[in-house]
Amino acid sequence: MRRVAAVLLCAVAAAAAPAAAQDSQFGIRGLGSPGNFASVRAWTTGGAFAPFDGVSPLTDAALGDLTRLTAAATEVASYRSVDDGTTTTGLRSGRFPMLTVAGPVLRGLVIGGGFSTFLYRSYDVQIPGTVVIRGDSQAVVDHLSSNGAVTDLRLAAAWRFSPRLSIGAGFHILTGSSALSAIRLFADSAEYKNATQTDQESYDGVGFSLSVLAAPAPGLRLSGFLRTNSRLRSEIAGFQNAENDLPTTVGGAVQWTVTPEVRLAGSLSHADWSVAGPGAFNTTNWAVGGELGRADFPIRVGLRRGQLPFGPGPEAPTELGVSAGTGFIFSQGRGIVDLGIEHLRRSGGGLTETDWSFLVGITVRP
Amino acid sequence: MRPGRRTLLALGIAGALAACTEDTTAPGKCPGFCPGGQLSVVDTVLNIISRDSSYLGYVVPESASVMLAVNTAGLDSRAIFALGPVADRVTVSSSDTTTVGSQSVDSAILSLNVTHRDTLAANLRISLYRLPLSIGPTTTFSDLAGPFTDSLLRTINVDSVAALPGGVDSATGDSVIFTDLADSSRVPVRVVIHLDSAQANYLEADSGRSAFGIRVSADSLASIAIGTVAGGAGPVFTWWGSFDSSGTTVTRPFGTAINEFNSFVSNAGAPTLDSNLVVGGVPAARSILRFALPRAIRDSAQVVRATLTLIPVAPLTGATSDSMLLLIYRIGSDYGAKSPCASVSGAGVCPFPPDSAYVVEGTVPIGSTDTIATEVTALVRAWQVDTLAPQAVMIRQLPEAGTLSFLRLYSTRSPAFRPALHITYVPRYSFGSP
Repeated sequence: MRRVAAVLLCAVAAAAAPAAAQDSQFGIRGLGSPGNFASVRAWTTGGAFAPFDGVSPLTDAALGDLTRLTAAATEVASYRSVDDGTTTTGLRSGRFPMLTVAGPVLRGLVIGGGFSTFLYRSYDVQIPGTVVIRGDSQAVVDHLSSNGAVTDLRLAAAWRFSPRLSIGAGFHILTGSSALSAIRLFADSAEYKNATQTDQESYDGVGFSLSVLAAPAPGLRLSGFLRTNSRLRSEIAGFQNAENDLPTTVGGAVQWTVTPEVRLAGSLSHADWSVAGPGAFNTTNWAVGGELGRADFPIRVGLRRGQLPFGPGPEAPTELGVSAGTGFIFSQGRGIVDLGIEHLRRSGGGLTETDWSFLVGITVRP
Repeated sequence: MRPGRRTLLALGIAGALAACTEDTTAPGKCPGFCPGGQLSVVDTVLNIISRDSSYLGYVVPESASVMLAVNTAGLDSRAIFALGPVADRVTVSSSDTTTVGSQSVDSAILSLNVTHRDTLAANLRISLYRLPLSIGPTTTFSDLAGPFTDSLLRTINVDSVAALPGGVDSATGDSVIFTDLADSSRVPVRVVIHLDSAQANYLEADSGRSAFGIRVSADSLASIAIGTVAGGAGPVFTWWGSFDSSGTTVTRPFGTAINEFNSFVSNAGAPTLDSNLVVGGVPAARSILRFALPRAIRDSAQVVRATLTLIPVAPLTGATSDSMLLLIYRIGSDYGAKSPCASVSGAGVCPFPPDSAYVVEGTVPIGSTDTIATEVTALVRAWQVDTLAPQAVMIRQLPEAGTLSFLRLYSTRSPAFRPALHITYVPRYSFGSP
């Protein structure tokens, strides 16, 4: 049974598209929807455990907790509902948003890397309308779509000075691409042929991250992290079509192991997304979560709330998420399967978006 | 692992697998939740024909796919054809390969494929004349005035015979058969005319060589087209004779004459060149339009509709059914009048409609000076795909030399009425910033 489950999960991970996990209508007008730099374990605690999770790409110092070579991947299936006040539309997608590989190389030194989704940029907007051509009104439907993401390739290292203090740093290459298309469909297809334009947009940029992880008291851990980025350049057909500043993110988190079977955490972060351009907002996000029960079959719950950086109104759209999950350990701890579910509600600018995400994470420690 | 945990694991995997198909299409709530920029449409009339030319002499009557027999609207055209010699010896028994000569020539049967006629013509009559064997490409309408006056052999009323049971006149043996039962207009017919020995007039000295002419008449709208060898449906003339088969006289067909010459003569004037464009007529005229599609459109825009507009200088004249069918096709190379069509395989095989990326059709009604608007969308889009191809089209009649009248169109030398391309396109959409 365990082998079958492991094979199935590997197949799921391999077949999934290497793109965004949680696309959002709120990212269409801006640079996209920011990624969730968390493994499934951390994700199902609302992201509160991410600063303390070695396979979550949020902080580099947490790599210091890894005592052996570890690889982790995440698969997310999302079912979204978008309500614009007049119509409600159901959407779905399946993604493969994160892969991390890390392990110790020297005593106290752990290096790692992988990729995660920095900005989700998948959407397909359908816009009906009427145009007057040659004196007659013609019904048209425009499809504007993007399928892709800005991906964060990370190379990071953590130095564990002592069981009480680790620091980490990472170098990030922002890359990726989106397949863009603009299609105009004419209702009178006998007279008017459809127009289709496709392009490939590619992205590049770099980022740096610093973090520290401290254990000032038994059962208590603190984390601080900083992430800064260069500008994000976008090119179509070899020509730059945009250049946008990216935010600096600062945050902190606390984790309290009340008992070996009760672990709690909370985190807070702030990003100055307003530097990205008009219509962008600074965001502050917080999360709290807990992991209860034995390590081989924990119950995880989380709550997160915050803001989205892009929206049409005068204020940043808001996001509220509730999550839960569990995990299964196989082969004396060499394999871990984490399952989770998250419900999100995003609102702003007259639009409400709800999302049910099913998460599957696999961790291998050979 | 406990059964409950197995179930939970299976449910989690199933939930993940269920979303492996995507559906990210949502109605746009613009502008707040739509990408920047909008798709737009530009509709404009472009005078982008850089050069245009007309050429005469294509196709001459003896090369046409039809012979025109017309007697209406002041036009008089007569089909003429010459038949080759036939051998008058046949085998009379399937078990004996010995051939015997004919004792006498009894009759002949002429079969004509009428490919075009006006179904509103009443009392359509086909008259068959004997012509001198000397007819040829240089024979003119006036040269044959005599034979067409005094050498009438037979006249068949097509409408009357067609109305008989089975389309057969049992008294004469003539028949009229609708050859395309799928054609609801019942235009194509095969007319079979029987000639007795005197009418057939087999001349042994000429080995049966003969020549005939056809005139038509009707209460109105007397205009037909008869298939030729070039069109794959020429007249079929079969001789019948009597032969001695071991003391018994038997009747056998002894030869089907080969068509040596199919043509027609008429009182219609041939088209002439002037500052306008000319299409059709006899001998047929062709025109080429050469375009200079702006690069901004050719390289960046999406052409959603393109209409070629041509304005006639004068209305077409002729029978109502003689509307001119125009064939407008892309040329593969610009060699003037003999420019080859752009072909799918490159092997010179010209595509025919409805392959609108290569060729389109337009109809010009008799008596109309309305603008001729022909949709050439796929054709223009093909120029966007193959930017090295000549942006030019040939306009000719289908079939060439298929009607006596010709079409005169305003050219680029008449700025107010010049040919134009009415084009509707979607300019390049700017995807903007991420």
